Amino acid sequence: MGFLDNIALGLGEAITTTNLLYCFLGCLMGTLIGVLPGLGPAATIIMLMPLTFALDPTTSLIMLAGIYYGAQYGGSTTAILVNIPGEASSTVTAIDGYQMARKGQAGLALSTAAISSFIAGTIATLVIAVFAPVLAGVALRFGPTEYFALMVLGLVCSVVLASGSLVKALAMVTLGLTAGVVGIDVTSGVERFTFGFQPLSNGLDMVPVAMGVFGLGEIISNLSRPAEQRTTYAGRIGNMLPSRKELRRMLPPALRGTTLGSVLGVLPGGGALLASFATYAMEKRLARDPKSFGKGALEGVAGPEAANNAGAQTSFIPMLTLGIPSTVIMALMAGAMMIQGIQPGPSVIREQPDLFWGLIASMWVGNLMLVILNLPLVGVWVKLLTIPYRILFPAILIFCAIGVIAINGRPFDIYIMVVFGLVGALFRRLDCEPAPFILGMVIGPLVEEYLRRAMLLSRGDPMIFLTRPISAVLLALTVGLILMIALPSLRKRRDEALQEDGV
Amino acid sequence: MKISATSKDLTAGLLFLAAGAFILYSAVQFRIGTPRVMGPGFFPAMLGGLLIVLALITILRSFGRRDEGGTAVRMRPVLFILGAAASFGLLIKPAGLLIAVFGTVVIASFASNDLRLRDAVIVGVILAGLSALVFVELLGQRLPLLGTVFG
Repeated sequence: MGFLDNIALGLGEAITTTNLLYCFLGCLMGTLIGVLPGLGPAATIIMLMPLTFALDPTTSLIMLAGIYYGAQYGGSTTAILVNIPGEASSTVTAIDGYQMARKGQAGLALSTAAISSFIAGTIATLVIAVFAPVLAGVALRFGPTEYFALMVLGLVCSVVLASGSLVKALAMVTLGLTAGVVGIDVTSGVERFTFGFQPLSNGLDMVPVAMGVFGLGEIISNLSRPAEQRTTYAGRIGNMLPSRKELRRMLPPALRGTTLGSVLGVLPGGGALLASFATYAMEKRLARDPKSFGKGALEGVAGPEAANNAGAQTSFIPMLTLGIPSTVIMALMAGAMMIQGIQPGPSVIREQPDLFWGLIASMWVGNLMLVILNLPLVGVWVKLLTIPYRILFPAILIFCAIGVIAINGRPFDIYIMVVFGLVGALFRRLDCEPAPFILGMVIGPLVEEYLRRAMLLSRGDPMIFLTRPISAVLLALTVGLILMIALPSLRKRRDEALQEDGV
Repeated sequence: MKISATSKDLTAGLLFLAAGAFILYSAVQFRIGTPRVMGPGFFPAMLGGLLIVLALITILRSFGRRDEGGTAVRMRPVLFILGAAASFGLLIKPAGLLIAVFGTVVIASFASNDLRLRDAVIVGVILAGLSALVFVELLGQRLPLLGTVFG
């Protein structure tokens, strides 16, 4: 099937009334929740995920993807209007976006974010449509040995690109992998780490665990901050529609950001965060007037927003083609696919082309909807930002609790959420990132399965990972990455890159 | 209570060490098997061992770090948010959704410093009504509005 046939198939699937409706609902709900201060995209997705379970697989994935874009856009809105970035990658948007808002150009900042994201989304969708089938074709020839090596590389990458201590993040991944092992071992029938709890024999459910770590965890850490420092937005939004001159100013940074974001986003570690920081630094260097950065430069919003969105989009590639989620959000998506009975991996594209291409086409539709949705609705989002947190957090808590109980109707899942809320709060206190834990937990069972098969194939000889060329290269890359980060000089540069401009 | 960067690393390292030791110990009980035919304990044993190594590195490095002053730790949000969520689990079956939501909201409101009990009660009533309307009536979730104690 040719490229155009695929696109046509995808659009045909995405533009059915049902799918359009759920794509719209996803974008709307995602923005609505994502705009609330202190709720990042991961927390938003996990809160809204139970709403998609009853839908058929394609529709539910389309809605989830919509929620993801909406949550991201909502996060940028909050970053621009009240300087509270919901996630690490919108901290960059907050630098110049918030300054623009203070100068009375909030409308322009918001539309710059929307338009750059749309440009990035459109191009990145094409990138996925071109490269995903190629990569899936390669991946079909991978054996268990290559898969195991790829997963190790992916897990290490995700840790390297995260901020904070490398060793502690590796420990969190290892803990997560162990959490993935919980339940009855398929091969031997032995119960592992269930502590006699019958509901654990099928393994730890991702939703209550992630809801505890992210949902409850974020409420706790928001309430733990000293005093309520939130400022509500009081200024004018200003003109939403950019002039021709302003459009011309935002286009080059948006295109540069898209390029960087698309490339870095495919990395097994998911480089959207790195991409937005790198783009900001690059734009600042390229600018005719670097001093305007940090004081409300349009380019400082356009570039990073495009990079962030392109990276968010292309991070779907490893998940869809290799079945290996590279970011915690992709881990949640992969988890949702498994709940729908689809094992993410290279065969999805061949066995369920309608689902695969429908999802890709709906990415573009979703991006378009966001632009249309946000022009008229920005006033509503501003209103939402005025709700005090002491009213907001009980509502979020209730949403989490009902979302968890709705899955199986058993209070046990609520207690799992509470336990992992405690674990999450504890680790956050100790500066241990919870995201690698969730990533490890979702792919833990796969890692064990592939390791087991590879070792069976080699009759117990671990050298197979080094004698097979592809896995040897992947593992060499992994070791190289760890060494690079372990060397003090490079480590310093990574920290600088992630903290450039003192955010 | 204050917690400094050094003690953060040390505490994290000790926790990882305890977890690693527990995982390794349990894995041995599960039967390790051979590399060729891995038993249920093989993979957990690897993870437990790896975790112990990472824990030791974290602990060792915590001694070399400069202390950068501490950050305050507040227990109140942790206790009341987790307690509120747990009470939802306890109440949902016997008391039903309306009471569970109301109770959860009121308990949770104690987590915030700027507690206003009257507001909490109002928010609780509104959220109880809204969740019954949205989740049960509109989305058709099968949750009892009134629990088993009401017959």
